[in-house]
Amino acid sequence: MQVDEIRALKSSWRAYLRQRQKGDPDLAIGMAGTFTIDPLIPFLGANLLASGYGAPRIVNADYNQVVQTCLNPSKVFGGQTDIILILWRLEDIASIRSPELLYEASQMLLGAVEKLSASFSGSIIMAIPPRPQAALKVCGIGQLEGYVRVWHEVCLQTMESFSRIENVYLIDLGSIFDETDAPLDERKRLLYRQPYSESFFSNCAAMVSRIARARSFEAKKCLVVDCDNTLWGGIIGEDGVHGVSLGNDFPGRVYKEVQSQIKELKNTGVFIALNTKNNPDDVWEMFDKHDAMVLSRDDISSAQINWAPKSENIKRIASELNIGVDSLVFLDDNPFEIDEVKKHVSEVTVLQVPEVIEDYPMLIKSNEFLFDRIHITEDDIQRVDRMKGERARQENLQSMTQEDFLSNLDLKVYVYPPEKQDLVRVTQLINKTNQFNCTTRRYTSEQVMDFTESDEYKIFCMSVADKFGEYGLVGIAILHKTDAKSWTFDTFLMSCRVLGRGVETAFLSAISKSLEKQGAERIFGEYIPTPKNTLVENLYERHGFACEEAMSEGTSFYWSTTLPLSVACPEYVMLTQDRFLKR
Amino acid sequence: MADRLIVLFADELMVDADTLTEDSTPDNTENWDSLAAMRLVAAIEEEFDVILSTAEIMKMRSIAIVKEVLQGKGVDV
Repeated sequence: MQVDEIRALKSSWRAYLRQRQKGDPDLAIGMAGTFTIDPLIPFLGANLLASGYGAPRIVNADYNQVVQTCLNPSKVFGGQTDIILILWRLEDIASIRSPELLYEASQMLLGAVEKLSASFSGSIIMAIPPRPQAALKVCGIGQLEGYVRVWHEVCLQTMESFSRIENVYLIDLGSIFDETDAPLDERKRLLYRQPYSESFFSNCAAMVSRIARARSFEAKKCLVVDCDNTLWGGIIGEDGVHGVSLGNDFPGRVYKEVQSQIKELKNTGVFIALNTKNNPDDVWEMFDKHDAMVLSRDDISSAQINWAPKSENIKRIASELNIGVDSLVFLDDNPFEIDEVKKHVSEVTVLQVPEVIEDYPMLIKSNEFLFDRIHITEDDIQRVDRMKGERARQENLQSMTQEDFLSNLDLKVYVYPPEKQDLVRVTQLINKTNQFNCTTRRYTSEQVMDFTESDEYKIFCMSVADKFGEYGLVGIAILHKTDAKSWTFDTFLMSCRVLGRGVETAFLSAISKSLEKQGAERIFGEYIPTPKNTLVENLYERHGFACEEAMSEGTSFYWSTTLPLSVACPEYVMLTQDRFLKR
Repeated sequence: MADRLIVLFADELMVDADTLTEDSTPDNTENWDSLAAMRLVAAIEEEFDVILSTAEIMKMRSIAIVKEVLQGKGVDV
């Protein structure tokens, strides 16, 4: 993928965003990924616009909350959603060094998606995860590592679970990876926790868009082809069977390859028709006698070999095959013929054989999507309903709820005052967290040090781990002493890595208990609204704080509660007393 | 031509070019969050045909510094 194409796609999306009207989208896609998939958005948007959608809407769930999203999609995406896209990788959901945990985590994810497929009325595009990338390959040369076996099993499972479900479409991330020239970007992997290059996202978006498009646009049913300089090089009427180019040498090889592509299309059910200004005998002699012909007479459903205008032949073909002219694709090398057809039968899609002949096979390949078939019929719709009914009745369907998922995580939270080694991370979090941040106050590391040394301030840190891995230091609270018996939250923030797990409740619970032990009777919380932190506007309310109207004014809201806190640490979270040991 | 850089930033951040100066930073500029930073890096590399190291990326905390880094790589900006 060229840089120019990438820039053009991004520009197209940005231009659309700038002039987007308010109003209902004509296609709403919700995405959830186990890695950062935001870079996909401009490419997906641009592709959808090019496919004919006038007002696409793309919403990205918060980072790494695929299971939570599947269990409660309307909460995550709001409004009407037509397609939910799920992109995931094994290495994101557990350590590949523990095959058992890897397997368990993938079962949870697959279970959540199965549940979604039974209850969601739109379409789901589900990824087959790519081969995990191991940091090192050691020892087991010649033997398969445990995680490779798990990956194979999980891929098979994904295919088996979902390829028979009507509203789920699979997207093979591994094959997109293979088809991309430079799919990885090590800097992005280390900087942003997403390893893929812009090219990879662009190719991925193209495939997603193709699936989305095939749901709404009727597949083309017939490819109408010229013969001379289209199916072979040269002019059969002049050069004869032995003078045209078709065979294993260049350029005959190009035409042979294109014939193979056309044969492939025929095999998938597309009609092939001829539309050529020739004597029928000459053309059929080519089909019957030339050794390198891939297409045969039997492959041709309608042959218009005459000297009439090609647009008339087009209409005849449509009528013979009993299909609309708008489901025809016409391929010719001559721009004059193409113009003539387009002028008289504008609904036909036209393709011109490129002048640079080596680009010819790519022309067909890049237009294969025209024939994509995801045909929704009344029967299909009823079939979906029947399947949903059956699946709901199945007794062994795992009916996982949000609570089941959370308790299965074995969440551990450790709350502690920061130590010297934490200073850098604490300062970093304070300065870069925007969403789960009640006051968005920024401090330098010197100021943070001052807080730790002052009697008027307390800093609490939170580290989180679950069964599948450690998240590290992800929460910070800074409180200052308001009076002898009360403290106020100057800062309360959390990394987006641990959203949707209820650990903020555990954090608040631990902090309030600690303050209570030291004689505090009340805590105040402050919320300063910004465009990015609406996520926490009701954080204090959710935890039993009452609004302090008198103290609140335009840019700042205060909440308070007496101690003990009325909301307890969730049952499924364990508050530990010591720092997690490295696994 | 600091303009080319300002226009790039304005485009990616979806803000008016008039609101940006060389002193614009993530803290004083609307929409310049970590996701935007990711997009900006990609856009800068595409527009100026450079490849930025992680050290350079981490340094770029203001438009002035971005300009410096690019000039250091021989880009006329």
